[in-house]
Amino acid sequence: MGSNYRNRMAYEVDLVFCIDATMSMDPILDKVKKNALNFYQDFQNIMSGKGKKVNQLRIRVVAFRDYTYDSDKAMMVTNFFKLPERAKDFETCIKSIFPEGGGDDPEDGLEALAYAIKSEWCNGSAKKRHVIVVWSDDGTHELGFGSTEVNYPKNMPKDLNELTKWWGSKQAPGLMDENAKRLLIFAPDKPGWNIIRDNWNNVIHAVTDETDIGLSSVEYTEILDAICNSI
Amino acid sequence: MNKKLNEKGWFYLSIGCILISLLSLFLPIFQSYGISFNIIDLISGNSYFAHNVIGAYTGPVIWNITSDTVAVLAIVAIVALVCAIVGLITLRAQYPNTKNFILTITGLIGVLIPSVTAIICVVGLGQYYPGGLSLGIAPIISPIAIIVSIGAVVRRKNKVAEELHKKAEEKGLIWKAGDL
Repeated sequence: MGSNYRNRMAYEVDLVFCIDATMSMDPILDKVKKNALNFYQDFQNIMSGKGKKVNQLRIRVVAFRDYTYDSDKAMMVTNFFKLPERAKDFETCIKSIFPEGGGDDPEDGLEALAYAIKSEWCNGSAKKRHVIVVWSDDGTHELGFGSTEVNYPKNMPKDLNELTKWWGSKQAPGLMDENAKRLLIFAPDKPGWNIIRDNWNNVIHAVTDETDIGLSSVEYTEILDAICNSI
Repeated sequence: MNKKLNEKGWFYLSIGCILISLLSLFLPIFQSYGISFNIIDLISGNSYFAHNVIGAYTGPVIWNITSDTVAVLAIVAIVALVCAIVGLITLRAQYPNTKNFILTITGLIGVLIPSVTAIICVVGLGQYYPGGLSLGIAPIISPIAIIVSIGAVVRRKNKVAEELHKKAEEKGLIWKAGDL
């Protein structure tokens, strides 16, 4: 095991956390906040257990709400934080995200996905993984639902078909590396997420209970396992 | 010194309001036949209050409030009070999280229950007491004090959230997403 491990190629892993930051999402936000500082070590422990070596881990956050109700706080983003060097900055950033707003039930998760797809992914190693992890306790608005708002961004895909082109497929690659990309969704079986699950490649949808407000029943270890299994 | 006072001001205000609410219980809660009754009278089963006020009630019985019931309400209020104080202390000492906030607010609302019960008795059913039943000063002071306390806690939570967010934005760690 030891010599096999030494000879294995090392992964470079980029994670983008798309977190629904509306009022109901405190349970999951709380879990991410509590574990922000030790996330790197926990992640490395699980990956070593799987016999996988990770040379580089970076995390980026996209905190989304609702363009119609939340104005300037509808979409907040960060750069990638390289762990463990920037674990403190990652913790500060995560702790600055408070669950608030949201208005109606569906949120602008598809716009968040667009931002995630357009991240500045690492391109160094042959063994790279670009994983987008989505957390939400509801479905999504259609793309462009909030497009009449002043703060709605330019160049957003106009519909799910265009976002699907951004994601791409083996036959028609999109903006991400086809071999590296993974999408992991923690959300109920609702429109937006279920359409993506049924039509996009490299997607794992960990379907949560519709009544599970804020994904309170999703444990931190479950999240870590799912992320590590997707790599 | 002023900044520290400002930062802890919400805590002193909240605790102060809780103390005011507690102390007000020793002021009149009910008045009937021109006599005032405070918490001691109610819990000790003051015989005048029990026979001449409660005993003379002529209206519908929604809830038979005996001195045992009053004692139970007092215990509920004490438990709520402990929750509120524990919640306040943890909110002050730690990074505020929702559980502590809910504990504090639930505790503060629990402290309100006896006053609200008293108000319902008087406003809804006061006509059925032959000697009349009116509110003393306690059920007026207590809710006002607790509402101010709740306001201070909510304001503190929102202020901390704003400050943490501003600090992260100023460090360039997080920002409003722009055009793609």
